[in-house]
Amino acid sequence: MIEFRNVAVRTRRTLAPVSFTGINLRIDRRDRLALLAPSKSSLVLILDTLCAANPPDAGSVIRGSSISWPIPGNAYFHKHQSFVANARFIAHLYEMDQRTFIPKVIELANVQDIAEERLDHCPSTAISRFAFALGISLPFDIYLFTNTSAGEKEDREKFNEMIAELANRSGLVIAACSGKAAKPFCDKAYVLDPAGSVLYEDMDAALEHLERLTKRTAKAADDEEEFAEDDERPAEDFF
Amino acid sequence: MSQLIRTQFNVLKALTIHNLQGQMAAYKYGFAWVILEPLIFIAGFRLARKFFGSLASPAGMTPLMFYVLGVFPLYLCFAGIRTFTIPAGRSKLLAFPRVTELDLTLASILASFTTYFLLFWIVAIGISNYENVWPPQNILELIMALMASLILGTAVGLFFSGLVRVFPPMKQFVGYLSFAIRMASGMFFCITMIPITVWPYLTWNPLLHVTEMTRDSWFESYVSPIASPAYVAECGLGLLLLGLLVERYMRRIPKV
Repeated sequence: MIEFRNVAVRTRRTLAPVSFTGINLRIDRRDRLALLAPSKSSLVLILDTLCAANPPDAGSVIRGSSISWPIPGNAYFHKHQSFVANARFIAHLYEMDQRTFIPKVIELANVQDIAEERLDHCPSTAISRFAFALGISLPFDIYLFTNTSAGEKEDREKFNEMIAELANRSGLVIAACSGKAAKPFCDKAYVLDPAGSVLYEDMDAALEHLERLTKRTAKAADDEEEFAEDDERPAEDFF
Repeated sequence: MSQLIRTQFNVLKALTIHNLQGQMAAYKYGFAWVILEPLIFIAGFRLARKFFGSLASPAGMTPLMFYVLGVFPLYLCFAGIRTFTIPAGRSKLLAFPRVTELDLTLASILASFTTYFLLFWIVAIGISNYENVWPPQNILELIMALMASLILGTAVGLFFSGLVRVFPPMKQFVGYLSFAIRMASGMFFCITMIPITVWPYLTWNPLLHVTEMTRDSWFESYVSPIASPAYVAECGLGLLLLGLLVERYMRRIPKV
């Protein structure tokens, strides 16, 4: 179980500040839930706190279960190294048996023919498949996804099946800015409203809330832009 | 408990290897630059001394080994200080829930120690044989001095990481501090080259004791009048405790 109790977070040093207060959420081992936020920056903020990369401004986070990193994140890859070397790093980090783990990941990602190639010489679809395969090949209590599609169109069905299979034996969290990716896998959702998190047992209701929230956020951004333009106008006229 | 310790050890090992593999990755032949940097320093000092100073070895020491024993301890110390950016930064590796800022800091320190310690022996064995001053007089003292230098740097780095986390301009001050350490810690002088009236002020600096210890431990012909292992140990422990406390306290404060 992972629980947020009255958590507050905010962005720093950003042009469009984002803040959330009163986030209360609970993720259990058998949950299939979506974390829906109106923008990517707000989602990053919550994911940082969920993965313990940054502490919250207020409130507390209780961690009683293991959680994956945001799959299919690949920012930690050494691009000058091969698929095998990068898989070895994850095997080291998560104490997996390299002899079985690396071939399994390579096969799952379908990169057998380029396994010893440098990542920066390989197609991005292969890298995204590999990042996906790395995450789902490890045993976690809860799997966290930020994207449910990896590789080419024909790979998506295969990976979707894998996610569904994972959800049968572990917890599943899909963090997204749109409900499209989460709807097929999740049966409940937390919508991250700046005023607090709202839990929905009905995905359609959650998506409606998210849509309203996205429109409100976009309108606020437009108003801010207009206001900034008004501010700039006298100076432009002057020159 | 032993399982947790083993996991911690494995995490550190994985991060250290990852760090070593990523050093200067943006450059072609990246790792070569890590090795070349201190060598260029030593060669530069030696040439400067040849052109601008006297040719005599300072205080009965051979000229090249004199610089090797001054440069490497300080490089280890700077490697420790440089880690102040890690707890205050947003490393991509923090996306892994089992990786903490302190793990990244320790991994970076271990990677630096591995590089510079190995490089030290490669350079020292070559040069000391060339200058006929092989083997070192007291190898244990030498290794302790090198490790103490890294610990002192790490402690200072951890202390500043807490300050930089809430006040990023503090980075500038670290730059000034590094310059002061470079000038005052015996990189290119030993205490016997300095007027005795200044000694009481200079000997407050534990890194000067460290460079004195390295030279004292290598050369039979040089006995440092000030090197105090006990003082270095006290400073190292005290500063490390302070650094870890600051890191521990600041960990709960969100990054600016």
